[in-house]
Amino acid sequence: MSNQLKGVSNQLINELNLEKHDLTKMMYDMILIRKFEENLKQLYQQGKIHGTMHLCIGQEATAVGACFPLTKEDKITSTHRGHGHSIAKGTDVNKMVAELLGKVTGYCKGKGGSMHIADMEVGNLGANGIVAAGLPLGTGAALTSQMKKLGYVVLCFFGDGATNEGAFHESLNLASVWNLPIVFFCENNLYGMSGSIKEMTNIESIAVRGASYGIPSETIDGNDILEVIKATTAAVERARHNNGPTLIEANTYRWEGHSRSDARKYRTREEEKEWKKSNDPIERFKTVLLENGIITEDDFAELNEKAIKQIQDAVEFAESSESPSLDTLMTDIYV
Amino acid sequence: MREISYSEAVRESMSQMMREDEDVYILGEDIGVYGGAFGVTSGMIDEFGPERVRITPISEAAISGCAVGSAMTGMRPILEIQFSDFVVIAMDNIVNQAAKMRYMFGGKAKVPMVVRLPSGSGAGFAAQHSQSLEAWMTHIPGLKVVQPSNAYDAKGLLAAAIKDDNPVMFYEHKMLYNVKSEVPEELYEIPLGVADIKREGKDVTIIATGLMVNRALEAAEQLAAEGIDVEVIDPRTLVPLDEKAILQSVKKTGRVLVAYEAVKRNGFGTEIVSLIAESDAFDYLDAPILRLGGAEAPIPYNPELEKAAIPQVHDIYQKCLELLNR
Amino acid sequence: MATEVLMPKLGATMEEGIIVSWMANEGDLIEEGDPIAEIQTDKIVLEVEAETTGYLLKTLFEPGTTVNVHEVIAYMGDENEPVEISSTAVSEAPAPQVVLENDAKPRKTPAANKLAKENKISLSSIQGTGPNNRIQRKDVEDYLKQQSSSITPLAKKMAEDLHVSPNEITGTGHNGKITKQDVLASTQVPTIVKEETQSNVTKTPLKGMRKVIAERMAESYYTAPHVTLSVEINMSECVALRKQLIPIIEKETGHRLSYNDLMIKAVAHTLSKNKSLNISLQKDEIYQYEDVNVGFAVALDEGLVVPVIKNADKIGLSGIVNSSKQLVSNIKSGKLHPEYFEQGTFTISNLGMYAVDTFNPIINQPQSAILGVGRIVEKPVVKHGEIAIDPTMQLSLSFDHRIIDGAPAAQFLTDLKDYLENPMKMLV
Repeated sequence: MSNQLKGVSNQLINELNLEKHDLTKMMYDMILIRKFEENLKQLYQQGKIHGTMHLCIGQEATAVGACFPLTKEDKITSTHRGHGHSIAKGTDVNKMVAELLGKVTGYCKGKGGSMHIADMEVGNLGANGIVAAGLPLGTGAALTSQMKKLGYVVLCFFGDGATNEGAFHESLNLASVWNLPIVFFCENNLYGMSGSIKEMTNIESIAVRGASYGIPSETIDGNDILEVIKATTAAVERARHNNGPTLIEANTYRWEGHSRSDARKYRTREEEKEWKKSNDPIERFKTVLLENGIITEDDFAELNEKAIKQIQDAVEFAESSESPSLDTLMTDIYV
Repeated sequence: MREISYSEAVRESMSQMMREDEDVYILGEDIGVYGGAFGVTSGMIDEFGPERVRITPISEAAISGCAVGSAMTGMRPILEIQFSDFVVIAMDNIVNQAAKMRYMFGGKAKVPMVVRLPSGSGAGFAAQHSQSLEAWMTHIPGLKVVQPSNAYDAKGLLAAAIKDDNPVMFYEHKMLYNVKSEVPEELYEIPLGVADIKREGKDVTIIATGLMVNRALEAAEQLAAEGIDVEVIDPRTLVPLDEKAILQSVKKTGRVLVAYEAVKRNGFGTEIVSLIAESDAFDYLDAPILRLGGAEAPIPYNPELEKAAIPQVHDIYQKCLELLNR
Repeated sequence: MATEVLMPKLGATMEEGIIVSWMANEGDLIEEGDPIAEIQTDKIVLEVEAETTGYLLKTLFEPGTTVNVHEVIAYMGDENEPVEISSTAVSEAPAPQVVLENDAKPRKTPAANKLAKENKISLSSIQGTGPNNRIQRKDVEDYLKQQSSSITPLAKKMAEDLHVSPNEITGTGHNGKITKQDVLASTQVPTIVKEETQSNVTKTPLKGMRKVIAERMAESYYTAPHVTLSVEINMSECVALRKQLIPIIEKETGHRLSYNDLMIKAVAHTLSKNKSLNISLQKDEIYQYEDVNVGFAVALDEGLVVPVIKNADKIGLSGIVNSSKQLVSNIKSGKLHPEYFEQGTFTISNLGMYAVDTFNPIINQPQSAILGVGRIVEKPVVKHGEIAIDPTMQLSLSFDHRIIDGAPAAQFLTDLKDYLENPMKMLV
């Protein structure tokens, strides 16, 4: 890890003035997300997970950092790579694993799977299988907040690939002209499936697109959770005070392939190693916490153990759950 | 009873529902002082203000998703798609989002929204502004599809659609907007899924949708003069479909013509024919079921070509004679 | 090309016939003139003979089936020749027991099919009036309407006489047509019959001529209210006349003059003067016949037949002798041509060769009267105030009281008695 990166984080931890409790919780959530995803890989290999899934290992800081300023009433829209977002927003891990195993105790009673985990109770409007689909939905949710004066803010997660969809541009424009309480949070992990963002756009950063719609925008280091928190907190405050939407571009890296069937031929192993070695968001946050005396190595080991245990319990819960009965095929189609 | 036009009935229904329920609002392109492309929302912005009569950018992908998102979170949006043809730009939000939210979230979400879709040919708007794509929507579980054929039905069905907790695709016919009929002043609902026997008869059943209901009724008048007693069934909602009403009529007459404006190939009438063929009403058929649908061509501009592209009164008249071997 | 074998029309009034049995199997070689099938009409059982030599290729109906006249019942042709069932044969045939080619299946609408099934009728009997001759519901309805009135005239009359509604009768005839049997069956009160336990009983199916007789007797008995008048005839003059005429007629005809011949002559003569008995009730019409055609019952082993001597009032005794002897001879040798039995207007049933004095004969429908003739026996009779021994004979006239009243019947019998007791009057 470069000294430059460390310097920024040490400065931020003082500037943000965060509670030890919150910092530890965020550390734990990041570990939990990673353990969750690693466990899914195993379950998938064991043939217990049907279909596919999109893992967010390496992107824990954006998920946890972006959700930190959000209240339970605030809402998120998520993406196909959404497990981290859900966990960060407070979605129950037991029910998530159950859903991934297609059990009736899952969030969607086994009918949604990886790409449709949603939890209205904690303001998780759902992952989405359609790229950029969360932006117009989030815009609508923000409109509800505005029209009904509910005071909540919507944060839309999306990837770099989504910014080339019409829905991205239309939603930013609409949210801007209606001055909606929304944060457009782009996790730029450099690849839209296999397409490098460098090849898919001709601009230096995605954040410049906000200017087209009169939306304040910035590009941040998405693997520095403290930077994510800082930028998102400001954006959420802007939204909450009726100052309209913000576009945040958080640079990060997708450690795994797009899905389970990706040989990652479009990038080098060296590139992957470099990101993992020197820019692991968990390692970076841990270092900052250790250096600032927030936690010890023992504390970290304990958080690690606790996360592993929680995931084990979740798998146990999921595996012991019932599968949905066949007659649910035709339920919940209409109200 | 007073008579008002179809478009006035749609407007009155929306306005009355908006007065009754704060959560109901309308969004769409040019629906403010312009009054919408067909003037359906004329004057509504004066009463309800720009908050609840929301003029949108020309962004079907965003506004449709916005409608879904606001519906999921507690509003009851009415989305006006300027021409029903443009719904294809909003298709993801309707097909992949609105229709599936409830199911894929395990029953934990609902999307109470109405998409109003001025459709059909006859106005000289040519290929991209004249289609009848309602059958596309009927193919999607999770959507309801409504197709009123007169002002009375339009008002009552729209009220029911707005109150419905599911996404409802509401197909209005632009050639019917100025057609007047008796409509009560008070708000009323016509339940979705209940067909209407527009005319009772015993010799032939015409199952017609949208504009074709009106043409079927005209043809029925002409046939009555020849002693042929035609029954005209208007399903009014395609999803849910009042199968019972259709099958009962088939059993009664044994001779069926299905008339719709959409392209004949795989139009919704095809589904009605299949329904009959698979049902116990089959045994009552006394002639092959006939269909009248639009030409398998884009809607042309030239007025004579445009007329030729969809069934006319005379076509219906002729088909009925054919059904009766006359 | 296979030859069609048709249900023959064996008489002017024959509309249908029942196939009693096939007398050859499919595949058999049949010589010209050999019998193919046994057919029962309402008068008689007859054989259908092959018109040419050939193989019986296909039979279209099971025995017991009633078939309209001129309908194809079988095909003959070369050995193993394929049979193409003609469309007319198919459209008329009630559920033929042959596999038809798909093309031959009648086009029908589902509604027509359903209605036909509900009414247990075959669509092959129905002519479609829709496009491509498609049978539609209306065609079946029309057919049913026609069928509901489909009752043989005789059955209809019987039903009326017995006050039975045809609607209550299940038809067993061709396409459910109600026949006289059906009417009779409908009037019979079902009784519990103890199962026959005796071992020395031979059971023979009622069929053929016996069946025809059974039906016709019952029909007559149940439909025509019979009244029987009796009279005793002093046969002295007749006996004497016959003695004188026997050699003369024998010389002329080679046959012996019988009392029966005399009876035919006397009856014919009396009938020509009493035409009110020379009538018949058919359907709702009374037929008054000009011709006097006298039938006389002849007993065969299989049963009774009634050959007819036509215009018996117009031919002399020799002619009558000739005709009657020829008829009896032909019949006894098995030649039962339908025309022998047609057009009778009156029947004589003579049991004079047995020890029978008098009996109540049953009318031979659709005729309206029958004369029963007893034996001639010498009896004391009162003649001119004195008792004498003379040959006497009892006559019994049964008549259908629906169309003949007692007085004309009595007049007929009175006149007949007068002619028999004074045969010279017949010459006047």
